[in-house]
Amino acid sequence: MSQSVPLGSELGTVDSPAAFPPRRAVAGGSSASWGLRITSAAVAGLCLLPLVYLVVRSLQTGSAMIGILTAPATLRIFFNTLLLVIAVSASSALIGGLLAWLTVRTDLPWRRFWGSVTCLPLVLPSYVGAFALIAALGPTGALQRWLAPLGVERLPSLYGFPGAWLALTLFSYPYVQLSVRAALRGLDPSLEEAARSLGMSGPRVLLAVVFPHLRPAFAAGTLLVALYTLSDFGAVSLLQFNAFTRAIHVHYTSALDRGGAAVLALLLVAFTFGILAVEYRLRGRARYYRSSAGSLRRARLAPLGAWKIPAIAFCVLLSFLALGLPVLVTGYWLLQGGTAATHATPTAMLAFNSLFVSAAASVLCVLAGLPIVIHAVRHPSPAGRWSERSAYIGHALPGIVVALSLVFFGARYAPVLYQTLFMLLLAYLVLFLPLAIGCLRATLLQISPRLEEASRTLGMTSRQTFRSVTLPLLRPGLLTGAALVFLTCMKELPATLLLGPTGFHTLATRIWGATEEAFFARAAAPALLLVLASACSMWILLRHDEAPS
Amino acid sequence: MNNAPPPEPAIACHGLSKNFGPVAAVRDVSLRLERGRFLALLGPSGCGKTTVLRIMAGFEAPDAGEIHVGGTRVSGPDTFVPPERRHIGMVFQEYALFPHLTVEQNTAFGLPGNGPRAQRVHEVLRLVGLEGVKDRMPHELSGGQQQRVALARALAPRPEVILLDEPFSNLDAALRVRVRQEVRHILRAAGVTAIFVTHDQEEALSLADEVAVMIDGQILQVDGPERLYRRPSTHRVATFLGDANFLPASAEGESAVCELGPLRLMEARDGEVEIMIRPEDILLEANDTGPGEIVERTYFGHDQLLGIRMNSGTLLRSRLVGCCRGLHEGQRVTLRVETPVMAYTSRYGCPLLPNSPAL
Repeated sequence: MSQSVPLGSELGTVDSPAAFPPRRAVAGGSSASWGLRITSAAVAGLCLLPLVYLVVRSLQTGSAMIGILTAPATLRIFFNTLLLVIAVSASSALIGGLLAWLTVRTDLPWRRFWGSVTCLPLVLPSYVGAFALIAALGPTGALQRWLAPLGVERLPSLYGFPGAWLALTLFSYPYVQLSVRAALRGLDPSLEEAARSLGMSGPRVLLAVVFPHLRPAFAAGTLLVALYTLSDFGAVSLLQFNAFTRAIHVHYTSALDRGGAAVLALLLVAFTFGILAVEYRLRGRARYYRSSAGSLRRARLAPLGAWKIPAIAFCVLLSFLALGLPVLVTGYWLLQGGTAATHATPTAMLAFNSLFVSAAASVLCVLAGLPIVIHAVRHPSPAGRWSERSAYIGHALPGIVVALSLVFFGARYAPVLYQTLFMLLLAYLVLFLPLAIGCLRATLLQISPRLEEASRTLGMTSRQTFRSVTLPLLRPGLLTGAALVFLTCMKELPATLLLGPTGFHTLATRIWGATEEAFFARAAAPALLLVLASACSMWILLRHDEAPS
Repeated sequence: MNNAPPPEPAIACHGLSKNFGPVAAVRDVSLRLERGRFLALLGPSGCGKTTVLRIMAGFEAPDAGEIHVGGTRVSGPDTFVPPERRHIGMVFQEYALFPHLTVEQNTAFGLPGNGPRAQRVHEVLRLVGLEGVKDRMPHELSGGQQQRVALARALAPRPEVILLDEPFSNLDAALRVRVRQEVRHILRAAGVTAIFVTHDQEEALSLADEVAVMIDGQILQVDGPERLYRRPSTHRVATFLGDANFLPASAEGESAVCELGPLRLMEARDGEVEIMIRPEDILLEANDTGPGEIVERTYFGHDQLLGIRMNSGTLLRSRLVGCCRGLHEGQRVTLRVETPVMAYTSRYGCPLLPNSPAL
């Protein structure tokens, strides 16, 4: 989810004195112990299980697979998804780019404030956004209620493409904004000054000098948006737009032929991998474009003049739609909730369920991530690298795909575990292990292997060294990783929906279920709790970014 | 080194080799060091000296060769004693102080839980002069203090040998000379045997009892500092240890004749040789009919470096201490060498002199 800028890995070793000299063998003569190798291979195997089994299950459908792949319905789903991805990417690029420019390079009043506020929607789960939109602007939403005395019976339908487009754009444009903002800040103003001194006008400089430099950042941000759109389940399903994720879910819940869902899921994976491949290639090139590091002179701010007012209005409108609306709507329906129908499961129970599975998942992910990271960082070897890469697969798999595959696998091969929390936790592990690994890896890289070696020369065995040196120093990474996994699990929807035992509801599934049935008041309290959890995750992310490296 | 081996050197290694893929990082390295002596492993960066240190400490397994510490074999064809049981202390280039432990806890880290632990910690901290800061965290210390904590920590368990990897490279130049002296005093006072790695010849020559020159994974010469500087065994060692002039000469016994006239040799040679003259051994005198002309002068304050173009075209360097006696660019001079010089008979594959590097 968060973009890891791989610059540091190359430059850091050269530039910063804190980095460790790139030794050929970091941990030297002591190669990874068998225990470490086996555990990291086992975790990697678990991570690969959903993808592998999905392929197996799809192949089992045999000749039906061709039929499903070429069915007109499938083609429609494909084009729906493609349309949504393109539309959301384009609108996000436009909004994100404009916001980045406004908040970095113009004299927009309170631009720092707008810069932070407009990034916040990133942490809200899309289904909360969808809930807010539907509960506010939907057919029986708040707006309609207010307008009802005026004789307004129905509002124009929000469902389908327009709603999905709006919701996904509102919650994913910050990817572009963040990426372009970083590029704008890194752009050397002397390039523009040079262009001006060569006789170019301001707008031409923007087109001929600035924009080409921002293109990689635009590409990187937009591709993240595309991935997000592709894997999103909550908004798409609540707004009833038949993209892949919704189609898979519908196929799974209604159709008798579950193989069809598997084939669709596999198609979605192929789509995702295609985008990832593009992203990977562009990201590699983006590095190339980045201007030199070091403290740059501040660029001159472009005066907005009369455009100030529309610019502020734009920021206000966006913040209102993406942040204000969810909060207001939640508050509104919370107040209405007093008169709402009795709840099947009280909110406290939902919160407890969410907290419990999320806590269990965070511990699991950190424990599983530890051997992978240690193996890959401290004992560089092809096996270690492959384990780590496999563990990152969750980044590329939409939640619904992992969930679906595990449902099939559990039903067929592990009936004892099927319909238990174990399967849900396994899905969480596959999906969120990358988050834990990212934090652990960053922290472990900060711990010089010389510290461990120093401990060895002082008479400690490798086990004692791990306990008394590595683990205490790794603690911040362990905690951050666990917290991130925890908060992300709280927000997870499709896997929880598909893999949760019967009767097991969490905040996320309640918001989804209640919104689908238009019981908005039921969704309000869980939504509020999730918004709070999201705020926490933003805070942790920011703190993690600011941590001295 | 040529004497019969005395019993039980503190550390001895024989025939160490280590390859990283196709790169031979260490090639057939043998060393031995008596108790209480300091050895500098001197070489340009990337020559494999740190790898030797890491092999000794047990962080790398050698592909061939043996290591004995205090008479016990710790590494060999069928032996690999892990680092924690080698009785070798190490001071790392970046000090590697445990950031989560105080100075005192860092120092106590390698001491067994029972026994007179506190007393030993106190003892070594006093030795390095850091009793006053024992409750501080490493990041609250200056670079020099961190260095001494690292030293105290390595000394505390009374290792047989202590290894120091580029111990002064993280200190700024002004501090370095002082810390160097301190470290030498501390190591002497502790009576410890030490090997340190450096790429700075001045550091090696001023600190060590013996210097091993290592280039491209091989040890080319091991000798006392003065002997090494005055009598480098090869052209490469000579240039690595300091500035050197090389001239073709024809030798006969104890003397050789070159462009500068007849010179005394350190060792008898016969036939065509190449002689090595340190710049400070060339004395100049202003003389309008002299065979050389000063073409360049670089003034450093305490000394100056002069480039002299001989009539033959050869460029020589001379380092003079003290006042300049009217030596300026364009002045013709006579050159004189009073000390005996080294002569090499074989060819060393170096660029010969008419095109010797510009100053």
